[in-house]
Amino acid sequence: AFTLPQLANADASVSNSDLLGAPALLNVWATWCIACRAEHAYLNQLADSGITIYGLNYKDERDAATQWLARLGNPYRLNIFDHQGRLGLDLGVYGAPETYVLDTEGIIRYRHVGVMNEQVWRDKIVVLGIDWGQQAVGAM
Amino acid sequence: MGTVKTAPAANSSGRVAVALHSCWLLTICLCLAVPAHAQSNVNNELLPETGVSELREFSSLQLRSRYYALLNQLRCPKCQNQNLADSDAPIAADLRNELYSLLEEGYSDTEIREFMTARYGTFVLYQPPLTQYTLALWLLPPVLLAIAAGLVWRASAASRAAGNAGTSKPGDSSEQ
Repeated sequence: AFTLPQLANADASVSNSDLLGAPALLNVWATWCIACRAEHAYLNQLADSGITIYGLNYKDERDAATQWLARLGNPYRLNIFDHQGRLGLDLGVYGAPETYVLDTEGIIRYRHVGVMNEQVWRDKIVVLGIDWGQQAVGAM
Repeated sequence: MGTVKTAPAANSSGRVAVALHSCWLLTICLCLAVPAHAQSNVNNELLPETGVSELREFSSLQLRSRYYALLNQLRCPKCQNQNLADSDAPIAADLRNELYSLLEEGYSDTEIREFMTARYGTFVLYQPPLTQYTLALWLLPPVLLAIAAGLVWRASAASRAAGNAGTSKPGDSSEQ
């Protein structure tokens, strides 16, 4: 269980209960992470097709992160500002990018370390058999 | 130690003696290598100069020595084979801080290990727990050692047999 500030609004907080209710991805990212930039376009694509993605902004600076998203697009429904990396430590994060697959109850069904792309989505995540509700990423 | 073979050792008992010494050398190397690989030295309090060091103030000497012991028993999750004492990785620094906090909060060594494995898996323990999956890992070194010892014994028996059957050379005391 956690409660941390949101990236967009320092006064608003997000807790684990905010991530429940529907299958989602939790993407660990940071502006200092080069590979995160590489996967970002695909995350935008996933979000556009209806996949819910939450962001865990890991050990980053608020201003830099906000500008980064403004420039590269924001696929995240919510962004957790984990400045100290405490939530990351509790999750077992050791770097970025990482992506967790959450089911409706918020149980972690899969953890992917490294860049998220079409191949990973197809080979590792679609096979989990989770019903993503809305149309999954189209004809891939 | 052992026999000094007479030179030139062109005969079969000389070659067997060389082989025998090589077997002993190998066995000794195995003995030294196996424990070092399977576990870290947990007995001695390490000097603070070992590996990466941050300045820390401990509320007791016992906490300090437990800290350094655990630093060597916990693997950096991001690294292939570095412990928390040696690794520069940011996650290692985070975990060192966490370890310090947990110790000061009064966690026991067992609780600390549980804390770490709950988050990072048994991969972070240099001494993996003994389960049906790790049985081979634990049993293999002593089994290999027993096999090596057996081979050495047989080579030694063969050399003694060869020495007794062939001509005995002055100064070659292995069969006396």
